[in-house]
Amino acid sequence: MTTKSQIGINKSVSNISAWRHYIGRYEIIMAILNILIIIFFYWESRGRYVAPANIYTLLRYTEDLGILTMAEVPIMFAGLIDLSPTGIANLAPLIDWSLWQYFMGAGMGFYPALIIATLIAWLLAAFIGFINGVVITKGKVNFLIATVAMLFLTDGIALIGWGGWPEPFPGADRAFFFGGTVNGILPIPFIWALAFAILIMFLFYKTKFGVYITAAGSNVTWAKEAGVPVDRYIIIAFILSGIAGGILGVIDGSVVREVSATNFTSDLTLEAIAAAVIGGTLLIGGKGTPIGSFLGAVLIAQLLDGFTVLGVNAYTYDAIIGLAILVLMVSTGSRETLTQYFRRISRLRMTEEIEHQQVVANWNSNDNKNKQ
Amino acid sequence: MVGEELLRVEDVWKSYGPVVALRGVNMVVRRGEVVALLGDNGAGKSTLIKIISGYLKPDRGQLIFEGKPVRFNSPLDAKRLGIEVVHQDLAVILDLPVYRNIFLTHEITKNGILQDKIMMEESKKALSVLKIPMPEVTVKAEALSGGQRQATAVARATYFVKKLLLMDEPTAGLGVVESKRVLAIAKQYAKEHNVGVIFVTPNIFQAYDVADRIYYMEQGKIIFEKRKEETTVEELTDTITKRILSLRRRDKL
Repeated sequence: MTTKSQIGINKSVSNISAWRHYIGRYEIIMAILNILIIIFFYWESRGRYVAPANIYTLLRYTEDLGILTMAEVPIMFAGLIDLSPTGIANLAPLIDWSLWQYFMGAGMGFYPALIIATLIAWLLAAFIGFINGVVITKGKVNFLIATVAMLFLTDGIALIGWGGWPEPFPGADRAFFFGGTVNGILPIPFIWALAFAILIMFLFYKTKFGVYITAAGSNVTWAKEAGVPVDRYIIIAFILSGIAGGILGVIDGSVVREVSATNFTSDLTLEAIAAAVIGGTLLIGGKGTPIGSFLGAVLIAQLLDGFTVLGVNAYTYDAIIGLAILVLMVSTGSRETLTQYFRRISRLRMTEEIEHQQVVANWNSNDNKNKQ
Repeated sequence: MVGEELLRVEDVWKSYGPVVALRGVNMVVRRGEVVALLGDNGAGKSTLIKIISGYLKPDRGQLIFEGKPVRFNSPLDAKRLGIEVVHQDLAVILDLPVYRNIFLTHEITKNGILQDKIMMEESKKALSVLKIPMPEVTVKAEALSGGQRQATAVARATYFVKKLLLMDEPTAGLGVVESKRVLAIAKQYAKEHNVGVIFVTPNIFQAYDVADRIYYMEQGKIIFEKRKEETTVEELTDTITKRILSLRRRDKL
């Protein structure tokens, strides 16, 4: 009993090759949108948009947003969100800096001290993510409450421990692998973000992580009935998010050459979530695309950077970004209904055509009858 | 030929808050036999299945599997012992493709990397047992009809089961031909693969058709147990109807 719709499904997936699994219609739309935006800004800025200095800036924006977006994607697949990564991004480099000072004071060399201090800071960041995960899954605390609390906690500890004034993170800029630049155009932090994005995509598409986190977000009861270790994998997702916050804080801080408890605000997290949603990963869980969401981060980064290049007033800038996100979301959401609408219209027209032809045929045969 | 004792349910109690779902259930399943669990909705059949499959823990009592007491902390513990289940709500994840559903918790991996090609091939084999028309195994489960989702759930359990197969109303969404097929599979796995089968159904005809022994449950208790040879469909219908009517008269239902 293969229905018509199943025949359609058969046709579209019967010759599926490997890449087709990951790149579908939505990802291609996101790529095209990004290209259109490049063209738009290039045109409007009369070429300034693609100047090397701006490419560098654009990649820096993409890196900031991209890391958090990719961290949120698995969590959103589980039907949750994490609002704490920016707090971790504030705290981790401060811990890194203090440990580094301490190690150097104890006689360790510059690089070994930096590396070990950074690894410890990142371990701590992962642990904070772990706490988030445990509180939410085992503690049964609502994910918004838990992650917002963690955000306040980490920001608070950063403020209490190090004050609100920025600490110089000097010498870290001597560490090429943190804050350096390749050829003056490619920032090393962007490579870190890209590596993290690839890690998330690999875990999601190629390992059980993706399967289980999707199952958890699709229907947590059925996933548990089937035996999926839902709690464990949600905790893993939060650990990854904590690590992302750690990387963002330390790597980004190395470029800026100073770290402070107020470096990152939660605005960035909200932009990252918006980027993920625009890229196709929905908030309800179970649905989305990591590749698409990364392209969504690129898109928002482009909007941020492009409007700056065009000299858009900083006050109107926020409003424009918000409006742009809304417009994109509405048009994305209604794209399907538009297609369905046109299909329905054309079907109606077809039936009208057929009926009209039948009526005409009837008239003609009646005319013939009357003539006879 | 019915073999040695596979599962013994001993005095299992389970409550959901103030509602007592199981009141001291005792039951035995042997290798190579099909046991039917008969009863109306709300009798506690699904709760018992959820406990045996490891999804719930009993409040009191224990499970003895192959002579040893077992405690399941999750369905994975039960699966490791060779117990597979078809849940009443199917537990088929709609956002995952068919082949990932079939291999859910049984994924084939090499160094942690999913082996999709093999899983897709084997899924087709798992589904072929049921002979229900299915689209490609790469299709998301949300695109399947109810019967096809049920086929996925049954295929999953039958493909992986080693010792004990639990089927909770597995023909609920299926047509006549497919239902007969599922009953045949239940019997086949018992006889040919020496698997123990618990088949839950509210339908007396189905129970009598598929089972070697029938347990009748009512309000959390096993009321009686009968072997197929010692009863008939008419007798079962008669007994059960009388009980339900008398309970209704006494306003117990």
